[in-house]
Amino acid sequence: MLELFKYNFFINALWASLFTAITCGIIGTYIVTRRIVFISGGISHSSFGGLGIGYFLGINPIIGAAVFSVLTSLGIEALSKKSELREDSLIGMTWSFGMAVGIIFVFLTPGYASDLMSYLFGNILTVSGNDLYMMAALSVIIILTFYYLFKEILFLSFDREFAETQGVPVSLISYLLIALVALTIVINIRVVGTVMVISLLTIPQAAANILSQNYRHIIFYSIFFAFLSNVFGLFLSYYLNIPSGASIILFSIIIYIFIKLGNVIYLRIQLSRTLRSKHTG
Amino acid sequence: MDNNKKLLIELNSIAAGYNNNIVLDNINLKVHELDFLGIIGANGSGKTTLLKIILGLLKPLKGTMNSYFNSHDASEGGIGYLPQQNLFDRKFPITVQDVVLSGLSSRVGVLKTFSHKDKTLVSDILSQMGICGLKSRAIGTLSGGQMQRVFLARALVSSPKVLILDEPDTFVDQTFSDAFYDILKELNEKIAIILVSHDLGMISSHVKAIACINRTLYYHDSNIIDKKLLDSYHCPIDLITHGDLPHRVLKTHENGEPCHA
Repeated sequence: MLELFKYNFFINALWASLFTAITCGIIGTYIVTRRIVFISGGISHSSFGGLGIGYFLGINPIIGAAVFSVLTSLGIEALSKKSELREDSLIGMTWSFGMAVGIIFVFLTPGYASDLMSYLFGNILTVSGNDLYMMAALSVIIILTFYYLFKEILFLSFDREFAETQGVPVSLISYLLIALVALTIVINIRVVGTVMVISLLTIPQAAANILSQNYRHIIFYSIFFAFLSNVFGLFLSYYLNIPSGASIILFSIIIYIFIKLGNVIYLRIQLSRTLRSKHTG
Repeated sequence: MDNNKKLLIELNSIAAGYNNNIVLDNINLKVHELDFLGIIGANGSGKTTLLKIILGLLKPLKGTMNSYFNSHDASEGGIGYLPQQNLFDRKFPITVQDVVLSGLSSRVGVLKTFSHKDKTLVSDILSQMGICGLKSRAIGTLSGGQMQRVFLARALVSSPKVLILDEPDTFVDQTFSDAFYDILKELNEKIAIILVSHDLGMISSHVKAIACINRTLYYHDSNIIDKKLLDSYHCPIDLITHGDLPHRVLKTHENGEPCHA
């Protein structure tokens, strides 16, 4: 196993595990607490449209997806507040439309789209140096955003209207954050794929939420659980030669179940202790 | 109305609405210091829209709103707001202390962090509400009455001149309701209160004046009102009680345990 660490692709994959954990851990906490999981699912699937356009134009599909997703996310944020359309209907439309655009452009592109599978289902073992630079840059941007705007993000997520009465620039920050959600999704397509990226934005946070009711702690636990899932998933992906998206999700669910079971057992013990002390006392 | 009292908020022929749908028309209202105004109206009468205008969340289509607070002194709060309770996410991971701190956001400003003094203010208001021990609890783990106190603390932590309460009776049991109105009565010795409700019976024995809203506003400078008068105001509210309005015997409010920051 140790000889793996000699390979560049493996070192890259480990770095990717870390950056994925940081970006998804923080942004996922925002998504889950703000209850915009469905919007994020829509953005991640519609990003396929950008991938397809990228293929067709012969540019890096990730760049295509980044532009497409940021525009989509800002569009959803703007329209959902103003238009007559129901927000979830709007998301459903964007979701399928993005996929359709992607499929049309992939089929129009001459030749076989060789790494299409890795964009759909993730391949952490093919993350390049360029991918890593983008992931590192996004990690820094997200950390700085949450460091400097933490109280605003917390308050607007909890009670948007009250935050607005307090002069918090809720619209501006919401636009900024939805753009960061889109970029997080796109940057992590390499690792878990468009279809499954939503998992790293929700499962570690669900596990973290069992352990803590504190927003800051949930962020740190989520990063930790996401990192564990990524590393275990990476090994499984390597040894079984399966898409890393699937193996990572498998481990994140296993971690969730462990935490949940542990928590149930802990609460049982606590309860019986309390009952016993009442009995004797 | 007592004209010697200082004017705090003034609405001049306000019209407001959404997408060409006029919800409020020709609203005139003056709120003075130490007023205790109950605004009543049925669902869809424009209560929420009026609140949004006063809170600055919605721009009026017509008319002007002026507020007269000490704008040069940032430590003087303007409006404290207690929103409807059914609107927030009970599973949201936020502590009681952070909820109350959010009431100081406008004073502290974006990109800045809360100081020790801000946290002391939070502790002080929590102990006044008698819930200091709950400071680090998650908001979702509290009972309805405790939550209401937390949100009241959030509204009051900035020492506002006017307190606005939107349907504060939702989800509050009778026992706490009495205590709650005692707190309001005590607060009213220092600040003006605007209480919005769809139910006149609950509030009439506490307020000093009643305004009925139904697209426009009818100001009634007393808390005694009957069905005939309501009809003349075109205010479709069912009076829960007929004849004499019930008089509550108000208990004296006891301050909670002292609390250290």
